[in-house]
Formats: sequence, C-alpha cells, structure tokens
Amino acid sequence: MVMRFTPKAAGTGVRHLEAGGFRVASSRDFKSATAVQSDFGGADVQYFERFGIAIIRRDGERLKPMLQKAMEQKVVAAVRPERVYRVLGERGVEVDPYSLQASAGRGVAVPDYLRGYRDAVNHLVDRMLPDGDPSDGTAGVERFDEAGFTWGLQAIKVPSSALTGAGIKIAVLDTGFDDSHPDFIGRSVTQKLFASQSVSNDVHGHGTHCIGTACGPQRPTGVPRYGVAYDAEIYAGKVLGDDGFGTDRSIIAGMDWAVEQGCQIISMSLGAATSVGDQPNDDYEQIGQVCLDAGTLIVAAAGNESMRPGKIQPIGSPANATTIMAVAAVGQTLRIADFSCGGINSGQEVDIAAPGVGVLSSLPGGKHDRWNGTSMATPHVAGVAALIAESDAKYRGWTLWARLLQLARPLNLPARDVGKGLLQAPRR
Amino acid sequence: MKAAPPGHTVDVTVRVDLGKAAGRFDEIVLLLEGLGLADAAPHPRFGIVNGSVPVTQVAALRGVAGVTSVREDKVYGAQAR
Repeated sequence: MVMRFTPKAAGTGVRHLEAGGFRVASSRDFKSATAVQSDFGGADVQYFERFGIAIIRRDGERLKPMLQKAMEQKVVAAVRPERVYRVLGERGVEVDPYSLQASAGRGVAVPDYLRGYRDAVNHLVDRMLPDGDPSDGTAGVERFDEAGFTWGLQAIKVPSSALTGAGIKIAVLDTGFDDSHPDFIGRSVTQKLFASQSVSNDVHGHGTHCIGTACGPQRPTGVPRYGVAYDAEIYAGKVLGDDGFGTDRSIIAGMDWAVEQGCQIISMSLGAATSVGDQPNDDYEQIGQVCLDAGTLIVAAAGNESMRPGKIQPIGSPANATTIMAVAAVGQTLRIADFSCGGINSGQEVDIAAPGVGVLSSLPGGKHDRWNGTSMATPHVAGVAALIAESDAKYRGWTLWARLLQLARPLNLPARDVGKGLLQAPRR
Repeated sequence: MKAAPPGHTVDVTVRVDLGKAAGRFDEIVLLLEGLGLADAAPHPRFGIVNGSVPVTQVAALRGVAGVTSVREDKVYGAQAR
C-alpha cells in the first residue's frame, strides 16, 4: 500500500503506524548511507519524510483498524495499492512480458496474473475505505441528495444543462412502453410491435423503465426527476417479448423501422452473452455502419455477465460491434458495477460508462422503482445524445459519437471497463 | 450451426454484400426464397434478410451470389438485474 498523509499530519500518521505495531524505517535514517536496501532493512513501513508518503509492505488486515481511525481523523489523505513498473523497450516499443516469462523458464501469463492481483487489491481497498472519487485519487465521499434529481442525472450533469431533447427522435427498442403512465401524458409517442407472441403494451416493465431514463418528464409527481431528454419524441419499438427476450429478426426489424422513422438515436438495452475469443457479429457491424452513415447513432448495453472482481466477461452482442456504442455501468461511487462486462476480446471495447446501479425510473401502472444493469446505463447515454443532437444539427451519426466521447469525464479506472469515462451532458 | 433433424427449420439472418450486390437485392431475395427461405423479411437498407429455412438448405443459401453469410438467429435478453 502507498499511503499519503495530509500536510502537517505525517508525524501523527507515523505514530499511528508505530502504535499499530508496524516497524517504520524513515528515509532520514538512511540519509548518509552509500546504498539503501530496497526493503529499508526489513521494516514493515518505509516512510519518505520529504514527500509525506509511506509504503506499507506487510499485513493489510492489521493495517485496517489503524487506517480507518487515521482516515476519520484526517491524518491520511489517500491510500492506493503499490504499482509495479517495468522498463519499456527501445524507441518506445514495449517489451513483451510473455517473452520475458518464457525466457525465465516459466509458463505463467504474467499480465493476467498481475491484473488479477491488482483487481483483488483494488477490491480490498474498496472494502476498507469510505467511498471516494476515483477521478482524483482522494478519499473524499461523493454523495448525491436525490431531492430534486436522481443520483444518475446529477452524476452526468443533467441539472445544469439547458437542453431538453426538443426536436430529436429517440427510438428505444425494448419490451414496449406504457404510454398511459401519468408521467408521459401529452408526450409524442409512436409505438410498433415487432416481437412475436406478445401483446403490444409493456407487460414486462423494462422498456418503460428505459424510456423513462432517456425521456422522462421534467417534473414528475412525487419522485425526483429521472429522465434526461424530457422533450424528445419517443419511438417505442417492442422487439423483446413479454418475457424480456427477442431474436435477431425482431431486433433488426425494429432498427430498420427506427431509421425509416428518422430517429437520430436508437437505444438498445439488450444483449446476448459472448465468450472469450468470440468475434463481433458482422451483421450488426454492417447495420451499425449503415445507421451511422445515415446519421443514426446506436447505443447498446455492454452486458451484465461479470462477477467482479474475480470474473470479467466480454461485452455481449450487439454492443461488441465496433459501429455500435457499448455502454458500461457505474454505481453511485463511480466505481464500475460488479456485473458490468469489459473489453476483454480484442477490438471489442467499452466506449463509455453511465449510471447503472439503483436507477430510479418509471414502470407500467404509474409506478416507479430502482433497477440495476447496463440496461439502465444505456438510456442515460441515449438521452444525453439527444441533448447534444439538439444543440447542433451537425451532431449526427459519427460526429454525435465523437462528441459524446469528447465530453466524457475521465475516471481513474481501466478503459477496458469504462471506455473514455463517465457520460456528461453539455451545458448548451 | 447445431445438428438438427433433416426437416427441422431454423430462423436465420442472411447478410448481403452491399457493395457487390448493389442493385440486386430484390433478385437475391427471390433466389433465397426459391431455395426454401420462408417468411422472408427483407431489409434492403441494411443488406439483411431474415427468414426461416430447413436446416438442410442453409448451405444452398450461402451459395447465392452476393450472400456473405447465413447465421442462425440468437436470442437476446433485457440487460437489467
């Protein structure tokens, strides 16, 4: 662990460590030495007085109570796992760690081992520390008061946006929509059924929840605002049946309808799991390309197959197509959701992350509830895409894609998990 | 494609090369139907035809000039937990 003390509290921090039974060696003690052992003579803690930084090498469990107390007393500013650094090859060419391991006589896949170790330590840090803002490495707490807006809308800066989605058509291809919901009276809604053996309205609820996030009202009754583009025109294509499942036939038909209707955005909170080594579906590569060239952006859920930290599954189909924007899910602490799939297969990447845990939105029958999933993250992106599209007619298709990524807030998390970062709405 | 009884029908997505098959999409759909593709749903905008076909005819569909791939349909689910 690398521990950074708050200014002027380093001495107190060192005394906390010593009181906890840790042997602390200070850089000051080795000032006159001609050579310094890398472990500072076997000490548990190496303290660099000039920087106010301590490296703790042993016994994370013993550290936990001391750390908790030190954080409460604001003696410790930040804690993170120690990183391993390696040389790069000549002229900026990276040395292949696999070849290094082979030449050392070992058959271990080093990068996978190190990533697993890193993820496990990150998980331990998450459990030990209060929730923090990973984008600046401090241990501050990011909390959202949902009196006026859901936490997700706050995190993506919707409250400060002057845009509404007016004039923009969003197609949500899902389980349908309850257009009799009181929150949507007076809205422009076009619906079409594509799923087989299903009724035309939303009996499942998923579609109404997603449409709520993308297009919910500015002032719903009795709940905080939960919708992004409250003036957008809603196109609800029921491509998933009453059981929440659908096939390529109904999904592709829904996509074709959305483009024919002139929708600038298609939101698809659906997917089929893939495996490590799978290639993207070329059908959706082609469809996505046609849509982008025609000025329609498709956003899709990355998938919920992961069980982090131990198991990260690859992005599902159709989100894994390079011409479809793949959306991952983060929680209120802006950490990656433990179920969110990652860019494991080569060329199949997460493009952006959005709120996907504890997301409040509409449900059939005039109800509201919190759901989790990359399904919930995806319509946040669709709604913000509508705001951007409203701001300037040049933002369509490829340029709309680029603008979404340009506005994203970088997170201190792997691109494998969050792409360019957290979705952000434009001010105007 | 999974092994299935000879008379078994599968739902498929047929992809047409938009470049090589330019101007021939309707003709290709007719050829596919002639080879057993039923309940055809053509999407010329995408170069895609959905339909169902006896599993024994899948290879024949692939042999139509301008067809890039024939794939059995997958099932997709809502991504909420």
